[in-house]
Amino acid sequence: MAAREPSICVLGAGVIGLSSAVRIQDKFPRCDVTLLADRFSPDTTSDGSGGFWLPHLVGGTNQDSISKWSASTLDYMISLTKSPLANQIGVHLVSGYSFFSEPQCPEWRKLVLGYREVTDKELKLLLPKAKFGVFYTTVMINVKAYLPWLISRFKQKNGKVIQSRVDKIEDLLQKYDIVVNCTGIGANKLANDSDVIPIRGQVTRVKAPWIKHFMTYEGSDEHCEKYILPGTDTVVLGGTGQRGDWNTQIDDRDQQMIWDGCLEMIPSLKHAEMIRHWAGLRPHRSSGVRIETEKFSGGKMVVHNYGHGGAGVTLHWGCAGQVVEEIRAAIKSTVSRL
Amino acid sequence: MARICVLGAGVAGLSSAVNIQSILPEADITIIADQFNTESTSDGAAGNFGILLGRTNADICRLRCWTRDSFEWYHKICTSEDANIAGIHRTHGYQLWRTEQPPPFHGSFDYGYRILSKSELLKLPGNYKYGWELNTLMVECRRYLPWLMKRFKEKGGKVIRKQLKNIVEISGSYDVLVNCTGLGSRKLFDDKELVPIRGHTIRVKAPWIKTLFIADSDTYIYPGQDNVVLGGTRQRGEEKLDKDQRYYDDIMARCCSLVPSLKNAEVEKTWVGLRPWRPCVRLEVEMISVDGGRLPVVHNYGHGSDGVCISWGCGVDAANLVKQQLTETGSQRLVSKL
Repeated sequence: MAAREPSICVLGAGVIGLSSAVRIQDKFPRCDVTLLADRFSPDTTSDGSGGFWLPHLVGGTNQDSISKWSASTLDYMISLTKSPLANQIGVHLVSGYSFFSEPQCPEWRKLVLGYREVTDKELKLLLPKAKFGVFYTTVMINVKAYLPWLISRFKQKNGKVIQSRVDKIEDLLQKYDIVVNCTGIGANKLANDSDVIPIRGQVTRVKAPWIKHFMTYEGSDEHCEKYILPGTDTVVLGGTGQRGDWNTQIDDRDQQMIWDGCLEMIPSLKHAEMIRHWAGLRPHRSSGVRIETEKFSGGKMVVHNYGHGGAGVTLHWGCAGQVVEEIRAAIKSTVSRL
Repeated sequence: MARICVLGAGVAGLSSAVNIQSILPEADITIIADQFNTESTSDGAAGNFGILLGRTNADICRLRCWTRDSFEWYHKICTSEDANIAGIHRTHGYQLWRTEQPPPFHGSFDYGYRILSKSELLKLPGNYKYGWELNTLMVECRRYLPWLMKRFKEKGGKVIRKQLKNIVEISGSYDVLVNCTGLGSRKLFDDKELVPIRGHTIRVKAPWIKTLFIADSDTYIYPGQDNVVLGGTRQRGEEKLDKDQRYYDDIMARCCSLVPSLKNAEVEKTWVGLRPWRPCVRLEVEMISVDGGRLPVVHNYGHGSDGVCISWGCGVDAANLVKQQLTETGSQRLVSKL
């Protein structure tokens, strides 16, 4: 590799791509960084997501990695809530209840704030059908406001943005030294990774500003968790988890099931104003999140950062940090070989 | 048919009237008041369900009943379809102190409180040494008063807008009076123990704020359905109702030090009002002499800062006293006819 700074292209402009681009710029200020994608906010998968921090549907990702990346992301998101920009990004602390049909002991209990099991009184008062519940505080972000903020941060530091469709990642290596592959579900084709399979999620967004807590219920009889997440302007009601389903059209039966399940938890939702429905494809990878450097001739490389399943927002900042480490290590070893 | 008059249409008056209707469905009930809804003191209150001993004084046993009855009622509404229409929703957040405190009185009655650990206190704003995580409710009179009034009218309750200078103006027309006039009792019933405690609040548009904060008991951030209530002041003996901008600036500064992003919140409305404080809440019967006879007056006033909080329980108590009076008076009439 020449002694000049490597040129870097981040492929994908969802939460994974944008956070990678911003963190790369921060760590390698002398590098030219370009962001290339065919879809940008508000049309990415990230935009439709609830923006709720919780490690969820992460396939076979190693627990230590989940803990490390999600903890780093949570710390970062909490710091954003304390900044004067919180309203611009739509990021806030949110507390609430997760109910279950049987006792749980999730790993993430050590990471969220104030995790505790609910009292018998709370169970009886709030969701008598549940057998177990926990209360905790986490962070929620309005992805539709966050992504544009990240892009403007990126552009302010001279990042270039190109809208384009790419059929082969390797083609980009003709122009760039390093390509960071943040294509999510697109990696199924682009990285030829058949392990990346969608887990379809449908949600309904409503206006219900009196709801300040989240509430989730995972029962053994339900085929997917039902959840109510109060965002900045809308409350997200969900959800579904259909493996291998590539359909992004709204399914009426899913809509009814979400509605019924959420109304059971909070009856006053009956009066909520419907805003919109959405269905998206969580980019799930059964062997787990892939953050890995693939080396090519001429000192070129592709750093993969995809397969975050239902935890893109939850892991994004930590994974972007990992990508930065991958690049740093790869550059170091390349330079030392010259 | 018994003729009952409730004086005052704030939260105490309306709660009393609705409760009386409930246990005396045959009675003829009229509310007489000169201030309704947004004109009332109740309207300015944030409506946070939280009582600390020492601020509102009453016999501890009675205070427990009022608090318990009130919470049960609010909980029933906020988990019903009517929650948003009635203006009651669940809240969560933190109450922070500089020194250790005895447990909060309301903590045994609402969803629960938890003492914060040192590490949690470090993560929260300010340098507070002690604090609680609170799970409680907010009762917003902007919606709650009209909701109560609608129920009252639907069951045949009558309303007269009138400013009373003296009880004799109406004493001949009713069998029992229920006095819920707050500070108005200074003139109407010559109560020299009432002391106004002036308070200021600011309502801002900040939908990204879902968490309540109370610091040193006088700085607070309560996320309401339509806006966030910031406060406050506690000025004993002050009665002027002009809006002094210095107090609002000070409130804003204190709240922004807890939640910096509030500085970007649009101010919707500022308010100033007088808490009707009394060394002891007056909830008892007084027989007054009128027109050569005796008229029972059930007093229900002097609730200080906690008027909204204990209003339902006090209304239940007041209604029971009214019923008792009518039963006693009725039996006396029977005896005198023999």
